[in-house]
Amino acid sequence: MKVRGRLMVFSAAASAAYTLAYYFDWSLFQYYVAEGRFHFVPLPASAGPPILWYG
Amino acid sequence: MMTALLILHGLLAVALLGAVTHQALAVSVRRSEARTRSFLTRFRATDASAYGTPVVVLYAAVMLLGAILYPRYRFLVRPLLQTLDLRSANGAFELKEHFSALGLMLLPGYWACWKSPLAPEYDSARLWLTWLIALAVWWNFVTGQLLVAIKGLFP
Repeated sequence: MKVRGRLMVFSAAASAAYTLAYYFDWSLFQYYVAEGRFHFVPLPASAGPPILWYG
Repeated sequence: MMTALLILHGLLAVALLGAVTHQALAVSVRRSEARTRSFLTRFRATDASAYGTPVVVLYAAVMLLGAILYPRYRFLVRPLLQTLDLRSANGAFELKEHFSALGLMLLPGYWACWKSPLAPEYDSARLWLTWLIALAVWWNFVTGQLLVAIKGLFP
């Protein structure tokens, strides 16, 4: 498959994967703003608001 | 520092908005219109392929700056929106986040469509991807401007 075709497939697949990851809440990791650290496991609510990464 | 980054984020977003709007309208041009001389026709009669790489670079730069600014928004502004029960504004910004991420994922395909020489088999994909990215950029720009001015809009 040529490069153009591969890039098109990547865009389609990544968009679909992102949508599914968001819908099912499959975040790869969380970034806790208050403490400025990344975590792979969600922390209690007392840790402050997390930023979720679905990429 | 954050204020300077926010202003730079906004300025680059203006450039991106102009480029992608120009391109989206140019790629939709009908041949019969090319000979008329109205403002809209002239606006659309540009070389749309020239905007491909600049749009990709500008989009990535705007998104990078937005990602740097986002933790501050998440920690300071979003709780304020929730406290004031501004659900529409909060929801609009949630959509902005998702449109940004999806737009970033569409960029490789978009760039492939606009890569020179233009491949005729990608004409349809080129049109749709350009318009999808243009709509995302417009939504993100308007939402961002509204959020920046939210204190003035809802004193």
